[in-house]
Amino acid sequence: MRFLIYFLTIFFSVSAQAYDIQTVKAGGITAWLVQDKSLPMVVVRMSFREGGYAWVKPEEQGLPTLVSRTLKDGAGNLKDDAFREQLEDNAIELGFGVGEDEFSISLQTLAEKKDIAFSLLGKALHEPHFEAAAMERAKTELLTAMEQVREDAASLSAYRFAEVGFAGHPYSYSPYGIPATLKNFKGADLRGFIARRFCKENLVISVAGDVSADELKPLLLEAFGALPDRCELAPEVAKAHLREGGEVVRENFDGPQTVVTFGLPGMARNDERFYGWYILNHLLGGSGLNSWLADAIREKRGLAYYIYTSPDSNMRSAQLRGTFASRNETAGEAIKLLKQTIADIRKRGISEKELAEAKKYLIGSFPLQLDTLRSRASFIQMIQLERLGKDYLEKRNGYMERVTLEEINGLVQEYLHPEKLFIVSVGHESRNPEKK
Amino acid sequence: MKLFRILASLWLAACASPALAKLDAKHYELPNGLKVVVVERPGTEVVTHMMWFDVGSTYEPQGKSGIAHYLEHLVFKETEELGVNEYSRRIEAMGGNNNAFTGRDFTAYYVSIGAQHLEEVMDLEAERLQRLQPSQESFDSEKGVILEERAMRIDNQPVQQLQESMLSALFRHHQYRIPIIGWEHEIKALTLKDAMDFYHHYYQPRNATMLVVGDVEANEVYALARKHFGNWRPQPEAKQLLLVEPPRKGEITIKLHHPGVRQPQWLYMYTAPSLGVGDQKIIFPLMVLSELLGSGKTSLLYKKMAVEEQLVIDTGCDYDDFMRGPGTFTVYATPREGASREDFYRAYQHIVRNVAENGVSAEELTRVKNKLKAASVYSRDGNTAIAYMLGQLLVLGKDESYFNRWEDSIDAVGNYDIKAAAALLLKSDPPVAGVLLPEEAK
Repeated sequence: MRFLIYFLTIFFSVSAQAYDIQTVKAGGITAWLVQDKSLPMVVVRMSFREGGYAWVKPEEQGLPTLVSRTLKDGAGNLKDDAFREQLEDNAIELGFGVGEDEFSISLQTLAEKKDIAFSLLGKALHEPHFEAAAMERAKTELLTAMEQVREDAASLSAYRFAEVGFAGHPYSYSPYGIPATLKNFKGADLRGFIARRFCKENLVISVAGDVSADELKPLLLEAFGALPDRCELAPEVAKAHLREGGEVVRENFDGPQTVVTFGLPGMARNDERFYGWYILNHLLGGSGLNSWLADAIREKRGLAYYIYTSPDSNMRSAQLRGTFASRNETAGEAIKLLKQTIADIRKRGISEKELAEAKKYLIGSFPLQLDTLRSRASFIQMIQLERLGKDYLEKRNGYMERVTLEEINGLVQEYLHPEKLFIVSVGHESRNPEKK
Repeated sequence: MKLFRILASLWLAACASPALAKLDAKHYELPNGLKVVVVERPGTEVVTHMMWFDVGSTYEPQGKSGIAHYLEHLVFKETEELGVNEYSRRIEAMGGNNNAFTGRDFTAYYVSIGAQHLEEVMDLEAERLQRLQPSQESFDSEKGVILEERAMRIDNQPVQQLQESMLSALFRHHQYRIPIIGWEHEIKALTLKDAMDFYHHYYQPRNATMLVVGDVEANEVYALARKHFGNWRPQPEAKQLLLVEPPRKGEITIKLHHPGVRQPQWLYMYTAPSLGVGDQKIIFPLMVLSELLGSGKTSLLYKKMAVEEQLVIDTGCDYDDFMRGPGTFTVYATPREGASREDFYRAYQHIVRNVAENGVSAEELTRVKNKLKAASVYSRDGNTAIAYMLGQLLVLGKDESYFNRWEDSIDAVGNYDIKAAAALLLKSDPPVAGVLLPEEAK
């Protein structure tokens, strides 16, 4: 609760520069910067492309995550806890995380501490200790996390969705690793991962806050200057196709409620028709109570507290993905409603009114996505990772506005096939009266 | 040259730094008792509008647990003028996001939206908070939704089931014993009349604060509030009698064996001073002590139990003082296989006793205080987060001066105070212990 204490201040500087993105280059490193002096803090989002948990050999499952868990356990001249203590002493928040495709780093610092923040980051990346006891503790944490996935229906549902939906493909790998692989990793393996996957070429950086381009350059060099220019070739990761249709994949879970995760093959982020797809997702299961699925399943029937969908795309796959939870006795019925809602929209098509309302919301609410330094840094990072262009913030609303009714109804016909739904259902099966 | 640049940038940062500017919130009150509080953030173009009621689940009549939260759901339904879901459709049409939440001590509704839409938002909020008329159909379908919510939050999660039981044991008399979402059997029995009785009785200007944070002018907000809420009729003020929790003798341990559990967990819950109850002077010392004891891998608990003794995989503690009733102090641990809970608890008490007798080193104290003080900057990022926290303070009878004194309050905590806070933990009533275990072998 402590860290939820928020404080108020007056903005003295008008954030007219909120959308002004500067490209900052230093020594082969490039960062996008949105300078904002309104708060004396700096937020940084960084990613190494092809550093995610899918971009390793099968016997290396879990290695990226293990690295992310141990980088702060001693680095440079700061042994064991001393590294974390330095972070705390300077109120620096440094985090490492791993997704399918990227190894990501987040950094938050007071403006007055930014020099030491980048210096400590550099130490962690270039001189991590990977000391044996710390590694053992991290391995135990990861093994425990794997066990605990099975204790939570929502986590288990998401996990099985990837494991089965992308079976045979690295996107089905366990992000935490598996006992068989985890136990073998030694310091040399972790160093090897860093040497292969951390390089300037794959590094994407976005910065928001109280730092100028000139101030940022030496900081980038401090943290990343020693990285090699290029990475070793990553293991090949083929295109991935989400499993289509077929029987519902069931997993037993001891609880009163079933969590369903579902997906359909979808559209890549860089497809020029993406904005129609994005609007379609909003209508189907985007935010709020008014989406077709929320209306059918929650509002009209009270069968779920939450139901939402998102256009989920990765480097090697694209899908529409959604989830909801419903009591064991009603989950089957909710799945039927899911299929029925999609079948209905295929039949009736989207109306002009629906399209206009969706655009109105998506365009009108856009500023809310950039309301904080953190969300701004994250959004700019997304723009870079998806290669949407430096002018994306100015152009985005126009892309939405130009989607025509014909286009979006074309997407309905092309993509929304209820029989293609891949569905995972995690619940207490013996209490589910309808198994279909 | 580098030194000069460092000094220059420090100087510039100091000059340009608005971090040191005190919070400025403007306070008004309408004749009907509605408080209006405004924080101006010019140039941001967006605004968060919140309606806070200092009425939460502790106001529920006996046997009607969950009605405050149920009502919160119904506030999104029909009114005299608005049809089903018309409210949320109109907010969406303006490009706004909205939501609500119910706590033990408060209920709040908020909208984040472009500042140009503020008046229309006020109009809609006035409509639903004064002229709500949900249909029986809406009431009935929302029951299913709320039961699903309870299942999601509690019944489908063994550790949450355990914590729900622990809170009922910790607060065996005080209204905090009752879960905010309500007991399942009581939710099922609630009626539309129950909800509307609660609405008419408690949703009135004397219990309400309008809080607006964003690109607005305070005087304009006040004028709009007068226009849309000026006719809101006040009721005689309803002060809920908050029960006083009597002292407890003897330990309670709640063991939950659950087939879904694979990794045991241990919890210990104590009551503690809060902003509403108890020794106010010990709150900041206890907050600092809690950070020292158990926040993260540099903490005393983690170093001793996870690194040195290797009893646990993870451990820490959490102090919640933002309550009108007694606060809580919780110690938690994820044990390693074969670890003894008695050993853990003994070691925990030993650590606290050591702090009570000897305090902590100056470096440790400074480090933790630096971390806590920085929250005053990090947490200023965005209208909604600001509104959320200021709102909570307002319903607890505090205001922005609490924020403005934050860094000084942390700074003022010395070793003497830390020792006193540790002594308080040791003197406290025995905790309610909770143990989560896999299913017992048959």
